[in-house]
Amino acid sequence: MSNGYRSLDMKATIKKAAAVLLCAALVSPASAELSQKADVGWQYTTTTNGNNPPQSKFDEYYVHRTGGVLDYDMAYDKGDYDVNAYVHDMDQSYQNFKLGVNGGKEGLFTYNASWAQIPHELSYDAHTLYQNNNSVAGNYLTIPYPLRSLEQTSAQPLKNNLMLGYLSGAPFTTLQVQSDRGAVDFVYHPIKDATVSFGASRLHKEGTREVGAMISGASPVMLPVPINSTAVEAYVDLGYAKKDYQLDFRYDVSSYHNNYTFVTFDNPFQAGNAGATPAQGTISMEPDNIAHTFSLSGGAKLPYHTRFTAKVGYSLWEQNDALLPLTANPNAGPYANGVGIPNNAGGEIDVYTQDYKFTNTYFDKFRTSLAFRSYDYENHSAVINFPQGLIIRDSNAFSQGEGVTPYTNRYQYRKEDGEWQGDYDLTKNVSLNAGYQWEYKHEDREIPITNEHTVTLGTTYRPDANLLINLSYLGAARRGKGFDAYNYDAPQTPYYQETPGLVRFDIGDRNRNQGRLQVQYNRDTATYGFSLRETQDRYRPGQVPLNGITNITNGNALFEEYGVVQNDVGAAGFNMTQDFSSKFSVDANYEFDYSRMLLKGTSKGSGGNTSDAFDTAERIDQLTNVAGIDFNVKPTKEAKITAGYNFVQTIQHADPLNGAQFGGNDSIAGYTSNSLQATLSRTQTFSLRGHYQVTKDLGVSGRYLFQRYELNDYLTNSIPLIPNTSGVLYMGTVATGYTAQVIGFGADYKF
Amino acid sequence: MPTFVIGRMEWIRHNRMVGPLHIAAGDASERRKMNATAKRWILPGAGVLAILLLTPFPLRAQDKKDAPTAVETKPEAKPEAKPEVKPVAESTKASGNTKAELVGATTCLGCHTDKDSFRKNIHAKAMPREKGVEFEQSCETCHGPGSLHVAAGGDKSNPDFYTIHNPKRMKASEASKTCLQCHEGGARMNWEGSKHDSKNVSCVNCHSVHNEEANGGQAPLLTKKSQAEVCYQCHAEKKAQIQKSAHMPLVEGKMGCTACHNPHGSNTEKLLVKDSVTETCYQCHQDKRGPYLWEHPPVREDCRNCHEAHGSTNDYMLIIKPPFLCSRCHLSGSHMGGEQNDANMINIQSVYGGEGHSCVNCHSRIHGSNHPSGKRFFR
Repeated sequence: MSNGYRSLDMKATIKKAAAVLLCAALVSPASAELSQKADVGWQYTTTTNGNNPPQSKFDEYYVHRTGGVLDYDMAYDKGDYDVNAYVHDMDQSYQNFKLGVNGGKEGLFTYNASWAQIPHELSYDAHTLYQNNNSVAGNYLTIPYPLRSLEQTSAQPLKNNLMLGYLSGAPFTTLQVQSDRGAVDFVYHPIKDATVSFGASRLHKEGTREVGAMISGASPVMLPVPINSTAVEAYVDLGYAKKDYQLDFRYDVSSYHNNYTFVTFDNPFQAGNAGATPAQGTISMEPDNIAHTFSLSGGAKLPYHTRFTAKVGYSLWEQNDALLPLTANPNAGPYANGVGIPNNAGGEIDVYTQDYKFTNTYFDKFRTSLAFRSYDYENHSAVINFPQGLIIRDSNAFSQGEGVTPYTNRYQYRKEDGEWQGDYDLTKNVSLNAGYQWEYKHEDREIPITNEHTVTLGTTYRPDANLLINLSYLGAARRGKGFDAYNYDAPQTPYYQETPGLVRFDIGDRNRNQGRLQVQYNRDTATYGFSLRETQDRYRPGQVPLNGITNITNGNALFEEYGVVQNDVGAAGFNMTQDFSSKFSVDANYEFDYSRMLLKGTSKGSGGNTSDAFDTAERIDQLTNVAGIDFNVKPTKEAKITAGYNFVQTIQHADPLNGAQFGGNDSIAGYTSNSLQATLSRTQTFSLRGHYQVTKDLGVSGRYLFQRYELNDYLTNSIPLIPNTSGVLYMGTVATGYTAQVIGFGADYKF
Repeated sequence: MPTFVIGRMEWIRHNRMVGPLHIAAGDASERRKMNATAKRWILPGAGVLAILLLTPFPLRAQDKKDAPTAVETKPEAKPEAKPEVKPVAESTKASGNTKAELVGATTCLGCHTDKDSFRKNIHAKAMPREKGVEFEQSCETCHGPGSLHVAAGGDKSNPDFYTIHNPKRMKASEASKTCLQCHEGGARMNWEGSKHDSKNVSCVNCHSVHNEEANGGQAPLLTKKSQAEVCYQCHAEKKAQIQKSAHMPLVEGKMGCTACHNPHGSNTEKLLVKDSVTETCYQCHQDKRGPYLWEHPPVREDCRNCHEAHGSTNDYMLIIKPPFLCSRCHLSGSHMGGEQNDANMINIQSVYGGEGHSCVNCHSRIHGSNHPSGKRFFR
């Protein structure tokens, strides 16, 4: 299996980078300031998780191994430019770089360049059939020959057992994606007050990650798909800023290229080589795309202490990947005059944005602003019809499903909002603020028009420069028009075939109440903060008319609305940093947050959507505690000790998962739900670090890290690789608990 | 054509579509009207903007609040070309109605030796060319003329000592004005009236102007050792969220808050750096930009419908675990059989339910599919 990190040939790269840095250091003139610091150490890492290897969560963005550790920092300041570099090597198996160059003459021309890598570990303990050195060819994933050739008709369990044997014997697969980003930026001041900025960046992602795939409408299989994509971006920004007016023009281009826009894979569940199910499946990956954005913004001071700012922008997003070979459908006929299936996707989106804002400070004690914004997302992509539903699902397998004559839906929307905000200084220390916002949204969805009115009230108390207290309230009401409840039943619609009356939380009628308290105390040696936030959303239940059309199921003219009816989110947090003396400081934080959602269902069975079965609601709760404390001790001038403990725990409750026991089943009306089932996840981390400066340049250090992750997930416990004999093939990528410890020693030297 | 299909707006595609239309004819015209309305705003808007920016309005220097009357600089004290950026003109009168005068940076640094590193500061380097302010004028450009302060000789009981302007002791809006003299362009264009400005947050709450090498040079000109810690001072709940098990690499120091937010003000909600939430996310996740052949409207509109960008204990920073995440919108349908809690949907041994990735075991292309038969995001 291709491995993201190793395929980048990091060892060669690190050698080159080290050579460049060394040369830079050696040739540096005496007048330049060169500082280098090397930290060499060794660490022992152990994890326990039954028989499984280390978990990805332990080092999602920072990899731990047993072995030698090298950290090298360099800063080279030549006056007109400086170079800084950071290299990290872990046991010669994982490297991380950061390289930056800054230079130029401030006020005339400056530049900076940077290069950084970010690992992203997804899983270490995946099993997959699609893994051996010769089995992967680019975007074609194959399974071992004996499985490919095995007829699977009545002997399906036999093949499953064979697959299970292969999976059990397969080595663990590492799923990981490495991001590699380089960027360069230039700033030039051709004349006073004018700035020309331009730059470019390149982001390359490479590795492997799991993606679920379906074969011919059933039998999902988890694939280790190769990731290999590059995004190149560039910009130019022209700015002119006087004290009383400013103007800025900017152009951005972003181009995304995916080396694998689709992946073909062998079907491990093939009933027979020439059977009804295909020998291969195909899954689309993210298509290449390009976006251009132009914006013009400006600000000006107007009479009466008024400031005006505005921004207008236009973006064009395009995607025109070839549809072939995914649509090799001879029954569709050639594409002509807009009929049939074209060769390319023809995706095009135009985005128009406008923002205008007036701010007035004519009165010393009263500041007010008036703003208008609009965001217009127009989808001009070609609408593609699939005559008679003729779509290739997978290689060699046609399907006539997906409704009658499906066509691609081109979702689009427009959003406008106006906002007024006022702040009044009641006294020197107390200010009041109020605001009103109206947002209008017109979109291509089942509720096409929504209007939301929001009122905010707040007060800020600032007795001195060190203390800030904010108290605010927000009330909002969102109402929709033209609920297209009936269309859920229409097979031609872009919606799923859902029971009429479903109201989605992001567009349904909603009343929102939100309160917030924030306290901050800040002095040179201490920071204390406290915040409290509560948001309550209530979704309006009721009945929705079908515009004179009776319910096709039971003849009702009204549909009962259902969906999310309540969603409450709250959080209380505290943080502090205190330097008790020059030798001792503490940094601590704690937060509790919760969410509770109530879902109201529709009824089941022959009754259709009737009003007598809407008494049930499912509860979904999520409670989280996050706490952390760090002690920093400097017993002597040379010694420094840091000890920290972090705790994160989430408990999720949900009503029972069996529809026979809960819900609006008519046969068990009045049934009382079981107690909530729970999922618990808890992470505890303890770290201890010490450093002693032996001489001015030499230091020694030691560290210990302990982390325990506990997970009791009632949904995902003990996932079999092949559950029963069904056509499902997992990779075992769901996180499980672990305990990890790292102990390390090192020495650092500045030269 | 019945009118109940108001939700199926075909808008622009009306003219291109060749398949059967089951929409009201009026919808297409409605959409065209809407687009025309939107575009109608663009040109006038750009025109207004251009006119406003090119019109020589009477500027603040003539207004009552900003009139620079308190400082009368003497030629011998300021032999260089007259800078456009004038020293701050707050209460420079103290005892005896004496007006403060400029003394020059050399005088300032005579006492404030701890600020000597300012000579290498980006401000000291950039101000001469960018703003026509030579180094000798630099201190008093922000702190005001210092002669009375100097004459007080460090005597804090002397009112003249306080004629120097210390932004940390000034009203937030006044402190910010000091910086906005030069910094009102670019990313700070929307500071005035922004969320932070209206909450009486000033520049010096986050920035330490003098010490570019503070915190080991890791966070130049900031009051804390990292950008995130500056924000955590007030946004304590975000600090907790980012410690949750699924998060973006802020804890690891591989990105900062300003990757997504512009704390100096923005036209977009939540002070986002881009025009929408999705566009902000596309900065790193360009692969999700599409447009796809088959699209998932809530995904196109707002990533936060499913993801908690600041961190979550659920995989992939999801707001809640699947299948509950999906059942917020998909409470009925083929798997659910019209029942929110149908056993088929979320039974523990069901592929639709808890195992693996739950719903996305099959609907894995949930951000959009480019496969012709990807209507339901299977492939």
